[in-house]
Amino acid sequence: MSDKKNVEHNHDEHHHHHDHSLLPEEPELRVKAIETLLLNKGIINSDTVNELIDTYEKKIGPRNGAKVVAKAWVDPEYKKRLLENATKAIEELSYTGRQGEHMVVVENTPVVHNVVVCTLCSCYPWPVLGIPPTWYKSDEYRSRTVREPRKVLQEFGLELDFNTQIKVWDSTSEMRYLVLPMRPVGTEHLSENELESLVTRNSMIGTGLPELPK
Amino acid sequence: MTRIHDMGGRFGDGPIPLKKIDGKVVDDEPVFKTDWHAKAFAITVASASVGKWSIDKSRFFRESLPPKDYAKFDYYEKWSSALINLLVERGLINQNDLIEIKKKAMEDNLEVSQVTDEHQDVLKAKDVAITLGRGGPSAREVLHSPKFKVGQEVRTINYSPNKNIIGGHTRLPIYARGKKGKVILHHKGHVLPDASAHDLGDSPEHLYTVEFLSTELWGDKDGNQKDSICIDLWESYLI
Repeated sequence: MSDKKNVEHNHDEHHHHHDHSLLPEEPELRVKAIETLLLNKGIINSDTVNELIDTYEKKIGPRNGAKVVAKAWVDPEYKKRLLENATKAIEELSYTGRQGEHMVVVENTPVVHNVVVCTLCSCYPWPVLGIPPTWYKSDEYRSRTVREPRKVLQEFGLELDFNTQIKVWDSTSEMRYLVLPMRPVGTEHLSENELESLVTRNSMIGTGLPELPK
Repeated sequence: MTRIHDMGGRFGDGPIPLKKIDGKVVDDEPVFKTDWHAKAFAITVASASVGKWSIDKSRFFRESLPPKDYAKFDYYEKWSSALINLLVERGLINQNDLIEIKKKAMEDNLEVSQVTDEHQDVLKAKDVAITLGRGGPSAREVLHSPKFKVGQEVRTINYSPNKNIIGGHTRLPIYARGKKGKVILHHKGHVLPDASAHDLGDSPEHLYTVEFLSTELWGDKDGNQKDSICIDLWESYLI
């Protein structure tokens, strides 16, 4: 690409990064205005908008990930497949696609604790965890987790042993990370379904631990 | 330099915004906190079927919002504002459309008309499940063999890797520039965001996960000797 073209390209992009200011500032009205414009231009369809919202409110969420974790806890062969090729192993449970095209599962052990962040935006494994919670997308979590993970985890109520290594995974590519937490002690008698109910969303991000059996 | 989104390691942000009851974290937030959050999400996902921008381009448009807006906007304000800019850049809407719809919005006169000619690529409700289930894999074949092996020590370059566009998109965070680490995973070929964000093709490269010691990134005083940070990095980011 020639320098001249670069300059033009940059100028053009600079220009378009401010067009949003032509719409009302109030966010609810801004979204309503753009939605109306897109519906009227036939770029989006209102049934589709409702279907997308319904899908992520009701069908795709952290209970999917909990099923993956519980299965790995009870089935050593599945756990092996999950750690070797997470995308394929998760596909066995039919969780595939958008924002989970390339999965990696990282295992917590008595000496290593994994925690996932996306400092540059908010990358998160949607097919197994759904839409990320507000705190995951916050400046506070994005800026601090790579520099002071122990302090951040303390705010979640997680005090880790000084000798535990913390591995922070900054999701900079399309690889999506899911933490496989340690199975709580004293759960030998529990079924896969009962174990699944102990798996919290935060335990699969690394900002929490599974619940203990009641 | 970099852009406002590149905030890893920044000082000054306060406590993580968590809901706590009696000091314990309570994780019961609804998927979408308001209707307009849900709408901003859904219209962005739906528009991509017609707009055909790459995920990298949509990220670039969010991080290219003016820094004052980026810092002030809530998550879905960033999404909806970047969406408007993307739609104008793609020529699907223009500035006159925006001025007209704003006028109607201010007059409380936003009406959806009967659309008879939907765009040919519009995402249909019946295709939502299959479209989401398919996603958009970024894996691509790279013909040359990988330059680095798992276990090998590497160093990141100490400037923005984007060779084509000044101020362009890249995924090498500034906190990890010019730093020494070790390759721990090799993910084979993937689309290079630095190209894809600017409609310059896939330009796939080998992708690696590189592990950095906390002390390498933050120094002995600030880092923790036990801890490490693992970052996915493309081959051209590494030497």
